[in-house]
Amino acid sequence: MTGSSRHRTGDAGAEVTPAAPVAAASPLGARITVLGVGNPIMGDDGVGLALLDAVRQAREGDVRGGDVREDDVRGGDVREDDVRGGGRSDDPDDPYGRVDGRRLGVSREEWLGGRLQDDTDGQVDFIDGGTGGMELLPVVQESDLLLVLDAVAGPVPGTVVHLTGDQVPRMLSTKLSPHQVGLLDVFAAARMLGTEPAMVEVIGIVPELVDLRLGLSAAVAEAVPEAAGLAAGILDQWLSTPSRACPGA
Amino acid sequence: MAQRVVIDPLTRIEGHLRIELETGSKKIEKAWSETTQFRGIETIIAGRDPRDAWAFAQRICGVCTSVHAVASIVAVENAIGSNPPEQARLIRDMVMASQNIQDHVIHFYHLHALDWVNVPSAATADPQKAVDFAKAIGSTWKGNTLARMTEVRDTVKGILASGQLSIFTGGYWDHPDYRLPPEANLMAVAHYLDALEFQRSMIRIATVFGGKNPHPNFLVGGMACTIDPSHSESINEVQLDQIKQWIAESSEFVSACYVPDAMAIMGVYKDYFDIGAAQPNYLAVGMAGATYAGDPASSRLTSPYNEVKPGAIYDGDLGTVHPFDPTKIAEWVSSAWYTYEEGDIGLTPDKGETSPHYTGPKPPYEWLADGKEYTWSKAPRYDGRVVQVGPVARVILGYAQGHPATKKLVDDACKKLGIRVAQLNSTAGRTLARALECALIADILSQNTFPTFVKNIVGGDIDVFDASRWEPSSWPGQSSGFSLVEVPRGFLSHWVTIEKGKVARYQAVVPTTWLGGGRDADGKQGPYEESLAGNGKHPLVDPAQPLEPLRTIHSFDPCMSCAVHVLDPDGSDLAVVAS
Repeated sequence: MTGSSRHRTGDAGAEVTPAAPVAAASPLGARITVLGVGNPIMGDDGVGLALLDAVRQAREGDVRGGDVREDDVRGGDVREDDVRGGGRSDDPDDPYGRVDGRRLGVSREEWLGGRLQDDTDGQVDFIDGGTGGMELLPVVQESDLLLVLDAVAGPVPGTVVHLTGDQVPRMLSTKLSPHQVGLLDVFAAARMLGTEPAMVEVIGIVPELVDLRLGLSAAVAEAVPEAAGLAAGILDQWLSTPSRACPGA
Repeated sequence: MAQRVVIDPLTRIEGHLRIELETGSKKIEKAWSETTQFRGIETIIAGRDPRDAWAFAQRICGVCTSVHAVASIVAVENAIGSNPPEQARLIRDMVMASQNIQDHVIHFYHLHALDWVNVPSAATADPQKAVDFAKAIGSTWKGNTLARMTEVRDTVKGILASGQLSIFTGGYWDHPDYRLPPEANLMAVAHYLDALEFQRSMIRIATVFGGKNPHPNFLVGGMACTIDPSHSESINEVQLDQIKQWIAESSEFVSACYVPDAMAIMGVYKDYFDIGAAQPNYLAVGMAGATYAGDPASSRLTSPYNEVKPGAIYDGDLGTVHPFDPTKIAEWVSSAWYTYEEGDIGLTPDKGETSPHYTGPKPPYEWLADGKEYTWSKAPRYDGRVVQVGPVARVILGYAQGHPATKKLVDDACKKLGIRVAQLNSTAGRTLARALECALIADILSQNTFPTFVKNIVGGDIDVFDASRWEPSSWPGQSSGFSLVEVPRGFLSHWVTIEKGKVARYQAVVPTTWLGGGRDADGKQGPYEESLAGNGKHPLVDPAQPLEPLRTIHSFDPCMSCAVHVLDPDGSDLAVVAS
């Protein structure tokens, strides 16, 4: 990341402008997605998934993540926190309007009709994105408000980072046709396809050790409650904002 | 003196694959394939409950999660004697088929096409000519309309005008060897965008059966999803109808769009059927999706993908298929940063060791290949030979066995392109073989696997779990097992030994290790290395823009930057280092 200050927040210039309403809002209001990304077997790269669990647990009384959880089906004695953890790439907050969903005869409603991970009241989806590439595209496209939890590069391990608006780089520069696609590429693709979230924010923690091992370093683990609190606050704000009924859909 | 060229990262995010080259007079003279990150998943799984191993194994890779999960589960089932019901096996087959299709489509359009397709050129195209071009190459894709081509051209224009090429940034667009006319480039970019939309259909199949995606849920002994026609919370008729539709959409995209595009683009770069050959030895245990629990000779698992029998082809001799023997797999650490207790001998995976011993320079380094050891990848060999795995190996094996559908696809393609079957061993050939195979997979999924699954449900078969070996008390005190699975990039095997209910030893031999490993004790190069430096004729016109070697390495569909992704908020340039 660019700065080392603790807990960066969006500046005024990054204020989100309302997207032009194009189609009627879904009856359930805005689709809110919390997307944790990262690899729990790569040390602090797993912080995004650790945050996902922390935020979900904090909200457990309110919502049930529609994502089938690993502890629903696993019989062994490995604890869930052994296999989940951290974060990975990030994602932009993005103030622009959606175009309608018509392309190649597939309507936005049809896309949404296939969505399988709604929680019980349709308010918030918690999704473990792992280190997925373009398979995360539907998740991104189908979200109105998207909160990404991730490891974010920076000089001081354990720093909590909040990126919003233009702080979240949409375009990743590279010289190569890649094999692996990062989340930034997924956002670029979503933008090209004209269907992307009206708003994206990133809560991340700067990793200390990204190496093959389970669990977070002390510096990163200590920062989890603060970051999870910030994330929960963003969710609360989104859920309580009247305008959420139609942020961009 | 030879000029040294480093391509690192080859993959976008962290670059766990690095290629070092020595060139002279616009040709590649020497090549080293280097995996620059240790990935010892084995050390993390040891000591755990084997029923949980898959949940860790699937995190080996961000792209291939399902296949590692299935490979792990099948190996454990083989060890403990669990026998998943047919319906569970069919579900796994469908999940893997959808992943194979999605993976091949994504590879071609989003990871490899830009090696051949010049995006900025698309902005100058006449949209009507793009429609005409599509028609001329036999593409029947429904997106080939004037309105659509015009829309995409304007999108590309807009991107160029904005100065932000987004995911197209940084291509070698000025390289002299981009050969497609503007209308072909426009068509390809339009299909690139369409592929992004339509991969969703394929992903959703895995999502229904696995409960979520990425990282679907699997289960030792079967599947975790219940089938109940009368309940909305399980696999029911509504979902089956959806799946049928998604399969149809996937098949349509592959046959109407992907295959004609691959044929046409490789046809324009026809000399690449003579560039990038690796050793003409091929190894596969069947078609993409073939799965065996233990030795194929005694495995209970069956699927249409097993119509092509496991086997190996040596020295390009398609007249002789050598029967597959799992004991002929061995891994060497001659060029890798590992030690074996008994020195550099080829160890079979059931005896495999993962003991890292780094002898390379302290990062940051400029050059790795001066040392004898230069990679974290072991060098797997079969019967002492360097072998190619992956779509090309599977297609050639099927062809050699006279598998009718494979034979027809290959013969038709070769005739149309004017190439020989042997030329599939090339940069263009591997890319073509992947497309042909994709058509096969989609066909089997829609014509065989899914209808069989539905027919069984109609017949009342909704059992997806074998509970008889769930409890560790039902297991032997000590047992070993392995799985052999044909996954998108090639032949994957997981090997497990269980003692007193815990994993005592675990090894995964992955396709990219077969292909991207380094030299062995005899100095024989791995397939990546051979494909670049095998005959001293591989082109590299401009070392600062190593487009030609990228084409060749990407034709293998390298899966290297699995596992680690840290966001760099500056979007800093993770670029080729050329020296």
